[in-house]
Amino acid sequence: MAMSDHEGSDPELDGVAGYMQRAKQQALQNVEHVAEGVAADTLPEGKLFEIAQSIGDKRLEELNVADTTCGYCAVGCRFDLYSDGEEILAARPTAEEDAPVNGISTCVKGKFGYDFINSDDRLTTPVVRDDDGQFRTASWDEALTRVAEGFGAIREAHGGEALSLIASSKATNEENYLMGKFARQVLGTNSVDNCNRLCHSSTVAGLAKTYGYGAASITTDDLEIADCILLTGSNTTEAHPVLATRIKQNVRDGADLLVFDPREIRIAEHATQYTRVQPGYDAVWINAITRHIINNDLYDEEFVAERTTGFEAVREAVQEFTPERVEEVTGVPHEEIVSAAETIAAADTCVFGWTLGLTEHSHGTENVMAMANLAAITGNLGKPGAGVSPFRGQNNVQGGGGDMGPLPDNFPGYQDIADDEIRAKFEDAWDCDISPEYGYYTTQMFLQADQDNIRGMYIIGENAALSEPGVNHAEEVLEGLDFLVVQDLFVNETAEYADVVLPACSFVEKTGTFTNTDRTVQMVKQVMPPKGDSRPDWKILQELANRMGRDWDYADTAEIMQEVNSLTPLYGGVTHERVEAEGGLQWPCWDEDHPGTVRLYEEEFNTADGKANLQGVGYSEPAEKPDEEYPLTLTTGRVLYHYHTGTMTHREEGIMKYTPSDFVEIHPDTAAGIGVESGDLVTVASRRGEIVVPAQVTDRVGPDNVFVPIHFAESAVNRLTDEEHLDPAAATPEFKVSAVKVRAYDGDADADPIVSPSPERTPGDD
Amino acid sequence: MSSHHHDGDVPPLTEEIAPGTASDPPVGSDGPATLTVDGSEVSVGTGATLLDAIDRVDPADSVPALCSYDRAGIGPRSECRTCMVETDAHGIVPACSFPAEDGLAVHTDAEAAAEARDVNLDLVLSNHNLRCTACGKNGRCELQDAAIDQEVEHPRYGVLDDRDEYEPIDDTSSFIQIDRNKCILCNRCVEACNDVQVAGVLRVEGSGQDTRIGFQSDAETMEDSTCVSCGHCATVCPTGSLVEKGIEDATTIPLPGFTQKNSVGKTIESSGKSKGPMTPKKRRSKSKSESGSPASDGGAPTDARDGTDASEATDTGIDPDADPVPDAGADPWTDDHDSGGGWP
Repeated sequence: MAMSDHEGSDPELDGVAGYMQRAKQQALQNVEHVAEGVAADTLPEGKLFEIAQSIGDKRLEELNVADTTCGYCAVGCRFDLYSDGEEILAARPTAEEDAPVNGISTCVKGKFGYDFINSDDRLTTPVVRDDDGQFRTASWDEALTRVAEGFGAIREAHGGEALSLIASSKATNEENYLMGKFARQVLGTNSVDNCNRLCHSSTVAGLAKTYGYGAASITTDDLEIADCILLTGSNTTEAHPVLATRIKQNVRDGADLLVFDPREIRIAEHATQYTRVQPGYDAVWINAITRHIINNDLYDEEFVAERTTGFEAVREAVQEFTPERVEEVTGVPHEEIVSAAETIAAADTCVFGWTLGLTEHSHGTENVMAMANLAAITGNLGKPGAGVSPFRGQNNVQGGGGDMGPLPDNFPGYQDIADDEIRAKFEDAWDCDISPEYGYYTTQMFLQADQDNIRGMYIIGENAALSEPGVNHAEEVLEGLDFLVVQDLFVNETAEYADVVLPACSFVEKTGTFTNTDRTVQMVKQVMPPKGDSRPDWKILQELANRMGRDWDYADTAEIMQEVNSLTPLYGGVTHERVEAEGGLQWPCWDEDHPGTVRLYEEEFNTADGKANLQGVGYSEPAEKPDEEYPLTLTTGRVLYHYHTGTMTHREEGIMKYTPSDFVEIHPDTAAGIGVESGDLVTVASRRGEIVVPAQVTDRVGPDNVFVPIHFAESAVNRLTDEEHLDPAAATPEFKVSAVKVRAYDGDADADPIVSPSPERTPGDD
Repeated sequence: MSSHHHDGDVPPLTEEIAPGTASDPPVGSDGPATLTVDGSEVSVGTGATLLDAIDRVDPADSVPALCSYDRAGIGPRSECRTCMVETDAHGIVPACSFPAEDGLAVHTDAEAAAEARDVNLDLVLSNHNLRCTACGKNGRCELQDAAIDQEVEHPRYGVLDDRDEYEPIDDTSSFIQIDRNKCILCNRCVEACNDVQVAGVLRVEGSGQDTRIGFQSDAETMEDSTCVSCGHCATVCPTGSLVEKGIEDATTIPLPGFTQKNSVGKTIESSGKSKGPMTPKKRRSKSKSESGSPASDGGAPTDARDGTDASEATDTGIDPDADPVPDAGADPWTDDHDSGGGWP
């Protein structure tokens, strides 16, 4: 701590310079102090308030203030953003009725994380790669022509199927709708997907199979009124801080909080029961809880009889999960299974919440179905304070990533492209032919590109070079593509491989809607003009479509939403007017008169027979188990102060003070075994690669596990993860389990150790 | 409630966080009530206070209610007493924390009530500086609005500047600036931190004129505290005492040097050291006896900090005959309530 008797952050100088420096600063202070004193002698003090306020009022008039929805995670916080037209100055609470999810609450990212918008390396003009391989700036006209020609050439030579599009869940619903439409109508491919493939697609698949909708059944208020909350694989206080706030309040007021997680994260410290589990065996301990509840007749017989099918199959399937076996496999003592089961069964209402610790596995869909079974047999669905709640990651992954259908198998509103009637509806509306064959998932696109089945990619707002599993392979694929277009705020790691980079703008520079983790559609409003020559995604797509032979003519995003309303029953009544007037609208909302749906499944499930179709889930284990050579299990995740691949948060100086570099959490026993202490560099190696990061010795992780965050390009943890073993139903990779070994860094590994990256940028951003 | 923590039977952290008013009994009415405010009839629902009823009408006199915050379950705390009103049945009462009783007649313009509000507002101002033109909340300040509404001319107890006892501005956090010279001790930030965020970082400490906003971990600065930068404290602060960095100079007088940070002349700067990289465990980070042990919770690169050591500051000047300072390591939470004894 440095105490200074003078203001300002300049280094203190000595001698005459120091004297003059102090005098100058003193003079500045005196202006105010003397003025205050003189004024106080001649004016009543009360007058000073009025004078000051009139200055304040005048300057406030120059600020633009708009209520909008946060663009970081999917909690869906709304607040007023203050801007002077150049930058975002502050986030302050908006009216209660306009902030249905968060009220006055925020986290550090939504309240303070806006430096990225004005970052020096923000892309403000299109960039094209010259014949000599170098990037240079270009006009929009030249860049768009290059894109239209590049995609056009591949489409002509190899068909539209040789092209793929990765849509951005950071963008609005309206833009994501257009991304799906652009892929199918303009490019002629069903290979359109988005980041949900890497996170919650197994949630969507698992819940859709069981209940009908691949989304949270609860409304956020349920977290505050539930008697019991079971959380797993969710670092809630860091990844979804505002939801954690509401959970913590509920626990303070007496609710039970059960946390099952490989790491004793902060929300686990708030729990009434924390149980450490071995990563990769979630279906095992969940089934064990279900078994105890069924075998001891603690289940909700009435709910099971009236609202579910398949109970007997579940009863049978869980019998193999005996106490001995469960303890051996997961490390969970039987007493803890029993106490969790009894707490859930005794509670009137329970919310089952999870994040990617449950889903990012080679059997994530089964994990989710096991959880869906547990919620159903205990009758915890379709009533206040009860339900299932996957906490979604990207701000608009529920709406943009799922609902709007930039997906290889679905049109908007989860309408199957293989369904002839539905396909005909879209072919008619979009005036094009659409293949009934599903396109490739993101993870498959990268594998298919190896076979030359994908030759050109259009990647919008996604940093695949860092976020894909096994990034060594992803980089090779990007390098080998015939034509790559990247549309982003920055020349990110992915854009390094692009032929054309198009400058998009952030959520504070445009208007539209986001859909949050509890299905609430909320308005996103423009607070400041687009930086430089950047444009909202929808305008870029419209220009491109028209250069590629279409005639799009949307005046604004409200008009795009009208088209969504006409083609998407779930969003039938979700118009901008209503969202604005009602402060948020939860789907399904079938038509203009429908009030929206606060909680799913209150009357029936969205299945053919209206019942929850339970299916037995058997034993599953990670694709890659630790062995003698790689004895530890690596899990990955987020930290509070950063977001995803860091394109936004690494540009925030204040944030970099808190979490300035990558790290690996290592248990004290493991650390002692390899002779390292906190701060020492270690090499973490898997069968796919290795990284060098500083150790953080902590008993937050167990002795058999290590943890590395996902946010840092310099030491990209996805060099260690596995791109081959995907969930069979959802194609989600197993980010959460990789066998690794850790050793003290010996100074001659391939990877360069990076301890403190520059706060402003990550390598490769220029 | 069962507790099967992996590392022994420790209660959930939530139980150990000092509450603000979250666990206080409700102060509102038991049922719906119809009453009169300055002669106008008002009907309010269950749980309403007199202040809720006054907010529904256009009262004869304005009622500032500086420490009241009507969202997120914060308060009421009845700290500032600038909401005093007269009732026929109970005399002069604080409107923010008095239930709306059926049939009650409330008078905002009764002379004694108006005088009480003025005196109490002057008391608040007596501990507040008047450097509004260099304040981050200028034009958005509830105290400024109240002083103007109440037509304050010469606060009868003077202003902070007359006494020249400015505390340095804590500029150590990347996001939130603390200027205790503008604090009116309304307690809203403490409740936002403990009752809304359930983070257990802020507290009111000390007593008498030394009462101030401090940190439950005994840290001296925001940067050394266990703050998670959620910003709730700055969100609810009625004055310029806690402001979001970024907007702190948006409404100051547009002259060089007239900034919130310069307004006192003394600033505590950030040490420049990083906090991380890992997110510390909450329990360990509260515990002084363990924080020096890198093996328990990472953080070796950052554990060694120079500058004022909180524990030294706490230890100096304590009467050896007085009760010993509680061992923060043994139970870091127990001294959160009623704290102040250990503070110099």
